[in-house]
Amino acid sequence: MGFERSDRGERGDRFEAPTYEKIKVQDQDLHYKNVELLKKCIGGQGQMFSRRRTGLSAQRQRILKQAIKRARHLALLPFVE
Amino acid sequence: MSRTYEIMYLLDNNVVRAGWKEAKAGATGLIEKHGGKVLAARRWDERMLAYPIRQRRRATYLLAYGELDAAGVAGLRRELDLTESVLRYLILSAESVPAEELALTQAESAADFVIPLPPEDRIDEDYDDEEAEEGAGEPELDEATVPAAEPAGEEA
Repeated sequence: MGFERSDRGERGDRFEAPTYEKIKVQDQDLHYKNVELLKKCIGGQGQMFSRRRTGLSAQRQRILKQAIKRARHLALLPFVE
Repeated sequence: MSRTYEIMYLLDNNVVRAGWKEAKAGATGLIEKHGGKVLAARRWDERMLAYPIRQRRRATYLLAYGELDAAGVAGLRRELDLTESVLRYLILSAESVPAEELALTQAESAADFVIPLPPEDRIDEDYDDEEAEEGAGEPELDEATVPAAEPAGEEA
C-alpha cells in the first residue's frame, strides 16, 4: 500500500504506520523454556509486544502470552525493567 | 487416575553447592512422597535471575517429569510452598516425557557426570558497587551542603 508522490502534499509528510518484521516460529517452539525467542517478543521495559509487532495469529499470540507469563514467574524474564 | 506432569524447580544455589545429588533427591523425593513416580529429572540450567528472589540473584533450574494423581499434585504444591530450598516451581501437565529428556537424565545419572559448581552470588558485591558510587558522590554533596550550612551557623 503505497502512496503516489502526488498524494502526499508538498512536504511529503503523510503518516505511514511502521512495519515490523514477523517472528517466524513453529508452534512447538512457543514455550517458556525458549527464553531467547521470548526475549524477542518483549520490549526494553519488559512489556509484551502486540500482535502488530509480533505478526502472530491470535491463537499463537495467546500461546506466546502464556509462555511469557510462565517465564516471568520463574524469573527467566523480567516483569519490568 | 494419574497423569504426567512437567515440574520445573528453581533451587537455591546454597543447597546446590552443598551437593547436587542431595539437592536433586530432595526435590524429586517430594514427588514420590506424594504418591508419584519420577520419570526424568535433570539440571536444566544455572543462570542469573531476571529479578532477585529472596535476596538471590542466581539459581539452578531442575526440570523433572513425574506421574502423579490430582490429590498428589495438590499435596506437592502445598509442600513446595513450604520448602525453603525451592525458590519457585511450575507444574504443567505434559502429554508424555520427551525422549531427549530421558536421554539427558540417563547421562546425568552416569557416575562420571559432574555438575559445575554454581558461581558465588554477587549480591553483596553489587551492593558494594552501589555504595561505592554513593561514596564517590558524597564529597560533592558535602561541598554543596557546607556553604548552605555556613550561613545558618552565622545566624545562630
